Amino acid sequence: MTAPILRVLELARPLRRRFALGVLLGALALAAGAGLMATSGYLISRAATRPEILSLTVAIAGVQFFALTRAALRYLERLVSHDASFRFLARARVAFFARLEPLVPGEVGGARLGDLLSRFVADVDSLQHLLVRVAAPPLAAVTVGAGAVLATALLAPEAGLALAVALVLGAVVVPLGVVRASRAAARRRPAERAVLAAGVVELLGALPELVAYGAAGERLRRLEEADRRRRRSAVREALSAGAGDGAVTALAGVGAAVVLAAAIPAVTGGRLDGVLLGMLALLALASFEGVRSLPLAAQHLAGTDAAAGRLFELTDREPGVRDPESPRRLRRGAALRLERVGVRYAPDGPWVLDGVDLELSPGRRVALLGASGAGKTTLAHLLVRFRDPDAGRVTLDGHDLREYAQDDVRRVVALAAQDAHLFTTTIRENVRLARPDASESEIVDSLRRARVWDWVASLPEGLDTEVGDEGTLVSGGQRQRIAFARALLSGARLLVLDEPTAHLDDETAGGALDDLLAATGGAGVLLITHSPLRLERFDEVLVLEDGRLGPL
Amino acid sequence: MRPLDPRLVREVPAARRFVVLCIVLALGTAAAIVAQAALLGHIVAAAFLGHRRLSQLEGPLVVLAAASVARGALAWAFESGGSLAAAGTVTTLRERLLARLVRARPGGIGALNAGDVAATALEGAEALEPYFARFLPQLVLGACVPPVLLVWVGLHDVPSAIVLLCTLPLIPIFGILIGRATERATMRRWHALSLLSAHFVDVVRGLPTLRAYRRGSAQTESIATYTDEYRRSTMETLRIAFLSAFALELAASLGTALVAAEIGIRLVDGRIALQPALAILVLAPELYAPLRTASAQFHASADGLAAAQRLLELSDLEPAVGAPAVPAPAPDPALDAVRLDRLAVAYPGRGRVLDGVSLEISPGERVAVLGPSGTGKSTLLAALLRFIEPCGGTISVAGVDLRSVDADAWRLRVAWVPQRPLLEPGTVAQAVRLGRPEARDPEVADALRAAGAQSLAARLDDGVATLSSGEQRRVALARALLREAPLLLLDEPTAHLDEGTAELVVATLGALPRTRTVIVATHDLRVLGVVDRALELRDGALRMHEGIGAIA
Repeated sequence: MTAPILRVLELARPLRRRFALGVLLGALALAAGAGLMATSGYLISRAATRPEILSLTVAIAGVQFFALTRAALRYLERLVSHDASFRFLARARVAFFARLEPLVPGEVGGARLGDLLSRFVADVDSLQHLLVRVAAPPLAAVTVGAGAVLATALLAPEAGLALAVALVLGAVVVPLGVVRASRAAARRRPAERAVLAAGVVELLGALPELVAYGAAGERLRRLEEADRRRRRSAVREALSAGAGDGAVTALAGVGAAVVLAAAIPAVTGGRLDGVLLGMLALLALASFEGVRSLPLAAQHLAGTDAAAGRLFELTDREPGVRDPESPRRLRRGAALRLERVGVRYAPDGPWVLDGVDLELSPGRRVALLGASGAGKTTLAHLLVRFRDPDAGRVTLDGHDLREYAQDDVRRVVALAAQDAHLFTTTIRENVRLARPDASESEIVDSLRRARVWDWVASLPEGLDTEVGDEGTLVSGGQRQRIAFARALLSGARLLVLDEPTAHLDDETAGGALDDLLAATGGAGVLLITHSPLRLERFDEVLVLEDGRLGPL
Repeated sequence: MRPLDPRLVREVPAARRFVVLCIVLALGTAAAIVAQAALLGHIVAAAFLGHRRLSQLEGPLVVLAAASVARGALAWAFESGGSLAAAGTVTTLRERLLARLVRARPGGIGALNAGDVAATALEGAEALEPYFARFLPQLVLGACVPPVLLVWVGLHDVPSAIVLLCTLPLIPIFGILIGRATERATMRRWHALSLLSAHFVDVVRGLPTLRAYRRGSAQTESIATYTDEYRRSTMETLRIAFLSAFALELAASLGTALVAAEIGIRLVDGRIALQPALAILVLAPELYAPLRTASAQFHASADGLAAAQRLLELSDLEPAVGAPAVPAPAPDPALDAVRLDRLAVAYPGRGRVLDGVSLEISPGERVAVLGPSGTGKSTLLAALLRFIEPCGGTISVAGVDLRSVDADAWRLRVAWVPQRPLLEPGTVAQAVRLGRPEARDPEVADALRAAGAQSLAARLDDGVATLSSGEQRRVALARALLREAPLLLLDEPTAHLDEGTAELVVATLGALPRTRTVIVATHDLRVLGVVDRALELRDGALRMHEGIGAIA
């Protein structure tokens, strides 16, 4: 099994030139810094021998040169490597999205889907730091460190060896130690944070009841407890990160001392010109500049590897639903049937749906009742082929749904899900999503049928009104009507409406249902709901209980 | 914006202690740096010009190594201390915010957006961590270390001190000037950038919807386009933003180069010795380093401070009801009548919702408060729960004004079933025990039976998420009954229930023992059959309900 991080790096392959340029510029910037200090050291030692001032001009020019280039190189390095990072981000987003797309909501779904998707986004986006924070610093530091060791060894081999030992300790041993020491805490951290986040959200949501029942104080204490646990892990991580920082700082000075201790006998023995001693000491000090960022890079590496691991864990799943080699052509009919359908989430798990029969065809209205968790949404997913049954079959016009292309099935059956998402764009674009080639008048007509056009028309910007971040600028009722208009615009002959009135109070919900049924015209409707309203308006009312479907 | 918010330091003891600790550590660090530089200069000068052997320099070399180790230890203390203080401060601020919210919005956080508040309590508090862990320590280092080093340089070589003193302020000045310029540029693009960066989140979160409308696989292209556009826009801002880092680096490098050249030339003239010359050269970059780091982190800290502002703002919310300095013992509604005398309640921006409500309810009496939604029935119950302070009139029991009683002590006498009971994730038993955590299983089962939920009495360990809304309502009622509070407040107990369940709940009300005083807010006329008295809330005041005789 390849390490997740290596699989991610595979995605960066086409960017390797840009990346190499970034590393090169970074290494040159570090080298210029080391050069600045080494040349200064030489300049001062040489000056102490009281030569002609003119003989110092080269060294002085060198010092100025390194000073200027260091800043310029650093600036260029930042630009190049950030640009490469963003390009890499685009590739990572596309690649992981393409892998996730066929899995939602069949393989990746359930009640916590929202959290899961948010996590997915955070993990993908955290990969963008891979190049700048994880991969580049060690490469640049090793290049410059090796150069410094080589330069030192050419002048005094024993000093070069001493510097090499100190650098390896700082660049390899310390970062590994930091990661080892903080790994357990780092792994616990996301879970501990999630506990705290859930606690805060629950406290805020249930505040009135908790206060009325005198339980708010207890909840605050529990949150403090969760926070304390989280803090312990954070502190442990911080202690080891700080230790890494301290160790590298100490090693830089100790390294300079050891280099001097190795070089002084060479000076005494006449193998090394004493004027170079100060240069070697300052070079040793400066060569640690690149090493300073390595403990942090190692921690980022651990974090990025964990994120990549989670991503692959999610996206390595096989899509449960696949298109056939040669899909059956759609015909005009639209008779959808569940035939003795069974579903279970694990091969030996309990049946969530067990021998379910259902028939849906244009013009027919069916209401499906059932408590939350009874499997209503799973049933809806079968109808649009988000998943296939584990027993029995679903047929369209008498043929197994598995013989059709998924997109063709979804052309016939539209699912307006309970959690229908409004995108951060205009009302027009949100509705048009269902049929990109729809005309303006068709969009207006579907909004009118969903009984939300009057409101849209009253807005100063009408159809071009932005719905805000995930639809937060429109009310729950309007939001659901826009989602419903979208389903109407799709032109599907069968509509599966999952809890379209979930967030409305009874009176409003009843009115909304009346509007909804009036709007569907000749389409077949399966209304999935947990509240028994307007049942008299349906041709058939079914109840889902213990995996079985029966009459009310 | 000030780099250090005085309120943070004043109000959070951990932050105050930390600033003091930072100053001590910074002075220690300055001493270690000076020792390193002086020893390095001494050793090189002694070996090079003094022709000392290694054996004669062992002492200084060991001390140099020791000073380096000490500096490393101080760096470790700095890092970990920062993280510890950050964790402690964040915890304090979060706990204070949540505790304040509980007191300020006991009736629900209402107009405050729950997502916003939760984000402030979690991410907002966390945004402060880098501020405390990194920026603040760097700020203290920047304030303490350069002056100490500068004094030492001044004692040994005045011209170098002058050069350093002249170039040093360039760093903060550059930092501020360029920071201002980039801030404007960034703010201009901020909206466009946040829209571009939010696109990926939007698409991923809407993936189920996209799939249902056959638009899933079409998104990879838009993700690539948007991310690329994001890269282009961000790089445009970064080109300017990185200029500030460039200027800082340049000032530091050129300053060091200037010192090196100036010392070199004066060494030739013999106006300075090699030992202090080398020491000053080692000190020069150390002088710039803390200011450079602090300036570079100024932007990261700005986010943290903005978050802190919001946190402190929310922590300043006024408590909803006053707390008496010397609370009177809570009166018992089981013994004495609850008396409302010309009670008036107003919400900001909505005017008086209740205006002159007078009512006396004897122990054991059952009263219905009728009226369509929005007339203030829930507000009346909120006033009785002390969720909101009346703006006129009084609520009293046995002549004791509730304003003189501790709100939590009074709430012990009250049980409440809200209009939309909220059951936290957990088991049935946990939900029922909310107000009496010590209740034994048989008592919980009894309460469930009394609330008309016989079937649940045997399923105490079932999760509440699987219950139907009728069952959830009865769990909330059982919770109120288990509380054994003499005053029972019910808000629309039959709303959203189907016919059969609603009748069951009404029957349960009728069967309640007369040890409890009951106030039911409802617009369901069936409830009238089981109450002693019905009053109608209209225009903010109560009047006798006229239909009562006929129905009862």
